[in-house]
Amino acid sequence: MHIKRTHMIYAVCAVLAGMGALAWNAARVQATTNVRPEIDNHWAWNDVIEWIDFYHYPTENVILTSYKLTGYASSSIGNIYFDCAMTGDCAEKGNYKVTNDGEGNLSGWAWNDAVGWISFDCHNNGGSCGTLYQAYVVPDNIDAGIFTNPGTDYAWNDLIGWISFNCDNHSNCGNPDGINYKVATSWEATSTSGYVDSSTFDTNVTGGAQLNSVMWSGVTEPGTEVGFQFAGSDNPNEPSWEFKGPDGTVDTYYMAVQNSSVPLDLTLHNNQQYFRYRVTLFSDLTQRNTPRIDEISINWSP
Amino acid sequence: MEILVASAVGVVVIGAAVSVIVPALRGNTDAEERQSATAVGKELLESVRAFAESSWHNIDTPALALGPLNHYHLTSDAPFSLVSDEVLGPEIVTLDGKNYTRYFYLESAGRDGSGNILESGGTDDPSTRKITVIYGKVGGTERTLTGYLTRSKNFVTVQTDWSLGPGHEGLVDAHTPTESFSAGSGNINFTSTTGRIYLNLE
Repeated sequence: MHIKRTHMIYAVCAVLAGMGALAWNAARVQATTNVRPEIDNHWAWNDVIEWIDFYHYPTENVILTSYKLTGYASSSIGNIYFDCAMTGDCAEKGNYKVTNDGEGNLSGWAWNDAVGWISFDCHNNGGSCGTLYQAYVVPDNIDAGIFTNPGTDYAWNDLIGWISFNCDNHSNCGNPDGINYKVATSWEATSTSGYVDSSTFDTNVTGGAQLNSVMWSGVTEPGTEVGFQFAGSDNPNEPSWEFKGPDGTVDTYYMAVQNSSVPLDLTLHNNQQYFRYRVTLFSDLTQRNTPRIDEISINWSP
Repeated sequence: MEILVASAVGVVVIGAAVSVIVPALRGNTDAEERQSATAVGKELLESVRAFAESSWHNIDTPALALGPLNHYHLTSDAPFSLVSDEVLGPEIVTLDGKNYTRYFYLESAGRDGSGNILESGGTDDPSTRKITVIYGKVGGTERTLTGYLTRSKNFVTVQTDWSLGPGHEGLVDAHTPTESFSAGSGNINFTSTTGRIYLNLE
């Protein structure tokens, strides 16, 4: 049914175009969303309420992270909220939200005042999944951030039925009678990181010390990593510590497996009396696992 | 007549003996001098090695030029110091009444990807130097000894506790533990369990 709604989508295009280039650019600047703005990249479809806009000018606010979908989409029956924080009724409605497991599998509930709960996963509340569906976003590679999983990339509402996030649910993409639509974001499953810069260690070696190697111990969860950089100076009050990895820049790290000594580039870390280390902890791609460091050892020669 | 014959034979025998004994004696003298010269060279090599081990910066200073044209020796009395032959001339060592000369020069050294020292090329290791000792009897043949000096003494700085948190900008003795650090990103958890740091994930 929806694939014949060409006039509708063209009307939407006209409205957007009519806002003028200045307003469009302003909207792009103001946007706090990672939904892609191109015309065929921010629409979902339902046979009853028709188009659902994930990039609604000028209040575009839908953000997909590795943890959740936030903001709201607009539709002919009002906004569809993806987390209760938007409406401030978390206590009343049981802290509802749409979650991302970090691998692009969305779960949980959205809310609309007209039709109520919208399920993003047939497994919600221990559902039996007689009809399998779950909103899915590709986590990596060329299609990263795109809602797509032909045949199952739906949400469900008891009153209005299926909400499709991609025309490929129906194999209709590119059909001359149809409309290419999908919801696409710039989200991609990526590691997150945090760092610690040490205090300034004084080797008490006039003429400077040679940093030889580094080792750490702790716990490496699957997919996590630990990297080191070092900065040296002959000035105990160095105003600008320049941390370096193996290529001599801040862009690389000495990646260290726990309990394994990693040799440092001797020419980069030679003959300076004072040094600092920077240890950077990298999560796995789903941002669910973190490394844990219990001890850091730096070997140096006077 | 008999006396004449005996004298002739004696001259022949003595001449033969001299022709054998004199070269042998000369050979023994050359060998002794070579041994003495080698001892003089080895002594310098080991002295420089000990000098470097006492402090790497004894042989690694901006003032010490590398390469075969930059000759050095050590002062003969402790504490040793390194002397450029350009300033004082080569060192002369007298042994068993004979004079020997000795000096050394240093060169940079490279290593392969496995850390092995290479005769030439490779990645420069600023904590390794190739040493070449030149020695010999004054006026005689010069010989060489080569070896490598490494910065082998080492210490370990260990940190097992970050619980005092960031903001510590003072100096920390690299031989003593510390419980603080300078700075960190806001998503680092350093307080929940003493002695552990990890990411705060959502």
